[in-house]
Amino acid sequence: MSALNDLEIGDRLAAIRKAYGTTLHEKIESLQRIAREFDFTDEKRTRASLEEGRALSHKLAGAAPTFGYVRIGQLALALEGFLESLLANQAPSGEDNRREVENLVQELALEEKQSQSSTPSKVTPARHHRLLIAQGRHYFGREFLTAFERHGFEMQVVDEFESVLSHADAFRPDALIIALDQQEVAGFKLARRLWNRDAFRSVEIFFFVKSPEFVQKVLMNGISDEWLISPPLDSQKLALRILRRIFNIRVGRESNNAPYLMPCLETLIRLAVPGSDRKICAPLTVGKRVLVVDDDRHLVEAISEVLRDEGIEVLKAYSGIQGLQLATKEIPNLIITDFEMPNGSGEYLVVNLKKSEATKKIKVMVMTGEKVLEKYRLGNDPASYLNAISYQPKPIDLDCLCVEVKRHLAVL
Amino acid sequence: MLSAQLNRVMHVDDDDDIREVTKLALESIGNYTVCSCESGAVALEKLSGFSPEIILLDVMMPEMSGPDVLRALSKMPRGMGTPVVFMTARVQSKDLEALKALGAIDVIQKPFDPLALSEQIAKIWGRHVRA
Repeated sequence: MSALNDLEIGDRLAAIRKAYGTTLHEKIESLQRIAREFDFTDEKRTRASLEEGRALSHKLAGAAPTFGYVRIGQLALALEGFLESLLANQAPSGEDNRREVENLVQELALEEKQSQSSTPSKVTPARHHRLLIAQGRHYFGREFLTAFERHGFEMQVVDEFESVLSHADAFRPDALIIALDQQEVAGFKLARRLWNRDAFRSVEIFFFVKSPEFVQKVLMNGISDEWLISPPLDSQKLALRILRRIFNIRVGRESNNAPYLMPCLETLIRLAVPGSDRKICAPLTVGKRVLVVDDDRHLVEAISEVLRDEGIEVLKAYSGIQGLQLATKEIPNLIITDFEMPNGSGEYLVVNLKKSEATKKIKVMVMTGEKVLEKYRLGNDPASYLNAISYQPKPIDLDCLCVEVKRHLAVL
Repeated sequence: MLSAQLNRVMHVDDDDDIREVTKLALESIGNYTVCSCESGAVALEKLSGFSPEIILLDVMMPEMSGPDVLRALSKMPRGMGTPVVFMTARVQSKDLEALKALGAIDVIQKPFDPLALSEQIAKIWGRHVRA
């Protein structure tokens, strides 16, 4: 029988959580070793490695969130599901699979590195991800559903659009696939109705679209295909895609696809109406200009590349002074800037932008690392300090940054 | 006759950190007496000496898995009838049913919240006593 009070229990738990950091590091190192030594040429050795990796990731998925490492638990669950699906294959070898294992382990290692430098987030018991499929029974057959279960999904398939909301109320899905099947307008309206309800704003919605013409039409209107699913269906890749989207929500990033897609839905509805394909719909990101400012040239290049892929025009600067000159000359729609830079910091840039009538309304996103936050005592909200619209922590998650940029550009 | 008040809990898990956090949570918050075992074999060995009222069993363990331990328990005079709760990271409805079909009275999902674990076990115990 213990006489510990609440405070002591809290301290003890905190100490155990801190100590778990070492275990976590060792387990992830073991996974890295397995990924490195993966020998996909020998069936027996491949299966042995897969088994070992699966057991390790299972343990991580079950334990890490208990100690506050929620995202690591979720990434481990994705890895476990992937390794399990490889084990279920007749021939799990293949360069694609090897690369995917490496990528997943790499993501885990990066997350671990980041987690160790910050206090673990609050303990949130994870649950299996819930996927609701609207009207897709004939596309998403039994084999497909079984593959999804291996990735840690719990699923429900609803045959009628009309019943989706009531099912969602009871099932509380993390993600929803709406199979459009020539009912595009109804499908998009369903997404709009769902996202308009507070309880479902964070649900990741994907649309299954059979028609390649429609996909093409969507892309031509400057809307990303990241939430479109089209044949042929690859359950492994799709499950990982959905899991990655869900993880972005769970770690507290506000950028799920709802804020970006909500304004797109109106365009999509117009596109889906027969005969409306000749209408020119205003592109949401195409033609918009973003200025990226950072003294790290590699990062500027990487960000530029992902934004250009979305049809966004990118301007580049490598210091606050250079950034200010370019912003004054080109008047971009949005500026993404580092905080600490030689030759004019991010703060210098923002302060001087506000001084000019021409540039004072340009929206700014700030990105920086934790050490800089501490050094300048910026607290947890450097965006407010700089009067910026959002803050992106370094190391930068390019996918996340891209979604965030598109979200802001869509409403600018 | 089962006591309404649960006292002795045996916890079996091969993960040192999970054992430590579970023991702390159950002893400090639930005021239970806890016997932590790092493997099924150790649990079976300690069974007579500790006489647990409930056993918490991890499902995936090397050498003897949770279901293996449960099967072994059901053949032992001391283990027979001792309620078992599985703890696992895999709790989809079909897995849940499969684990219950083996004879477990309930399944606790991993990862769990240490601060809520005692209450969770008290509820499971309460349901078991009433059944």
